Amino acid sequence: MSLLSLRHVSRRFGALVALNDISLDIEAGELRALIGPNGAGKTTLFNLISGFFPPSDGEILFGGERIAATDPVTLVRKGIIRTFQITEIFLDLTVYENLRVAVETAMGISLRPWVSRAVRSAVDLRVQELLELVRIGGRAGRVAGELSHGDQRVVEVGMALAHAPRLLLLDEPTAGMGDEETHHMTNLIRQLNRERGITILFVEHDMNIVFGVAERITVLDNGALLAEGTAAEIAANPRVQAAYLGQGGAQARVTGSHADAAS
Amino acid sequence: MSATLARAAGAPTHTTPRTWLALGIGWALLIAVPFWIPFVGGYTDLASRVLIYALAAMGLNLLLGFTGGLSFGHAAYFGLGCYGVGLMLKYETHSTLLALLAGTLLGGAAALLLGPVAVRRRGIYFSMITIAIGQMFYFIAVRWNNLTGGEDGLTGFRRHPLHFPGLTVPLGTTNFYYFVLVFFTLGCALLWGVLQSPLGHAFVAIRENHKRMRFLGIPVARYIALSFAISGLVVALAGSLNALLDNFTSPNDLDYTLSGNLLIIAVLGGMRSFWGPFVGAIIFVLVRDYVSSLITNWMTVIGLIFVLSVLFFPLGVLGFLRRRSAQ
Ligand SMILES: Nc1ncnc2c1ncn2[C@@H]1O[C@H](COP(=O)(O)OP(=O)(O)OP(=O)(O)O)[C@@H](O)[C@H]1O
Ligand SMILES: [Mg+2]
Repeated sequence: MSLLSLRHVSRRFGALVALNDISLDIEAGELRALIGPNGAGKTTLFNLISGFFPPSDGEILFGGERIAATDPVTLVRKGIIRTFQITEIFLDLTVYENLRVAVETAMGISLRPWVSRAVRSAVDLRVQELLELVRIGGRAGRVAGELSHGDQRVVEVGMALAHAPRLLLLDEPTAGMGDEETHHMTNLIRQLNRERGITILFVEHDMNIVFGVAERITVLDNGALLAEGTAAEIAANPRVQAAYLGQGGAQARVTGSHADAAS
Repeated sequence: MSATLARAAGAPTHTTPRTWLALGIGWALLIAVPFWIPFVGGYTDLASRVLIYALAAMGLNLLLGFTGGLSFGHAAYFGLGCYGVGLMLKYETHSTLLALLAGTLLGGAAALLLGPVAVRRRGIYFSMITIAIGQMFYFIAVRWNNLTGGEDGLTGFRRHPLHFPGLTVPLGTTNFYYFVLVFFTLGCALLWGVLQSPLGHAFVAIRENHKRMRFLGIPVARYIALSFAISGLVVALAGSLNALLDNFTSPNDLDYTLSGNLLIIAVLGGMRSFWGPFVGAIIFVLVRDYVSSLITNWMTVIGLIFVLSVLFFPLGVLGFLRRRSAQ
């Protein structure tokens, strides 16, 4: 049984069909990229899976359970955690405080008006682990709103990881990042998938990253499922090249970057 | 702007030695109030009033400044505290402490029940519902003449000496000030404790970003309702003390004008800082006391101060002072 299954899922906004009859499966342990031109419906798909809004039609199964139209709070408890295309963090709080809140929500202690010293240090320990994991420990005391966009995205990913997700949805995790930050983020994504076995679905525009990181790739175009397959299959798919990668240089770019990633 | 909110570097938020020193000096000053206040032209009851309004505004500020909920109806919980105390002392008991407890719980229970109604809407609609709920109690107090004394207010009760085994403490002006100071301290400790806890962290995070909190698995509305209830409880405690201070209450203690004044106090002093409303209460109560002895329209002066402070100290008076000392 797949971890996540979409069955004939559609989403309309008035007359606009943002997603049309999408069926796809993601297996536990997969590292899947979701690509497609602007407006293809990638973020909308994330919104459906994470419960931001319900599908107009179709069913979504998570671990075999029907979750279409389930609210985000319940879905987080089931293990679906996401980041947003436009970073959603607590801008006036420090990096440390951002992660602390996330850890406390994950530990299920957010309702407590009082905690013991032991719980407090357990929280602190977990925050330190996360700071280290996403490599932002040096900025723990900084107010999040003062950080670069790249660092803010790192904070958001750190917050998501506080929850030990069963399915992690990352909407353009490297957007706004410099080369080095991008490198860290892609390494982190690989590491989370390989070492911790977290199933990850990520949206990405940079083909170097997509073909370097993802095992399988799903391509959306204009609300429809255009193709799905391994990196090599997608790179060789003429429909993808025509619709998405553009004419001519696409093949070269794709194979080139694939080679990069392999080295 | 966020630079002013920057914490000292280093991870967890510690209470620094400087904070402890400031707290110590502040408390020493408060304890010594009955001795020094006559020399600056004040009187002890005025100081009691400052503490009471400060407590109310700090209670309100848990919701306003630390959870991001703008309530225009917190006078309801203040007034319920007042009427709870008055009615208890008039009809049921001679125990001042019991009456205080009853008033506080009455207001707190109302906030606990009504918070969930208000949080069903967001933003301006939330605020409008809080006004409507608040005014409901105002009209009940005005209409239910034979119980509440209607427009004329509730009279015929007074605070009684405290009885402990083997000890009777009369509550004259000075002793009552200390009585207020004790409950003020307890109220502050409650609010401070909450803000240092995971619950308080969640409140602040909700103020910062509803969406992020939802997608961290937090049912945001329920948490805001909880903040509303705790905030209402503290405001009710303040109201209960206020009725004991005056040995009187009237529908004015339930009116939205008071709700507005509490908001003004919080914003004036600085709603992002824990002690901001306390500073606001000092300014508000002193200006009201002094200016109302000169002209009847003291509210205009408060309004003017408020507008100027919002223009020139958007973080409140305390926020402004903090920023200056940080530079
Ligand atoms: N809440 C909404 N209301 C109305 N239209 C929407 C809404 N969300 C998305 N859309 C529309 O649905 C289509 C798909 O949008 P979506 O954000 O999913 O694209 P995307 O693939 O994430 O694009 P990008 O790469 O630019 O992020 C777009 O035409 C968009 O305008
Ligand atoms: Mg998008």
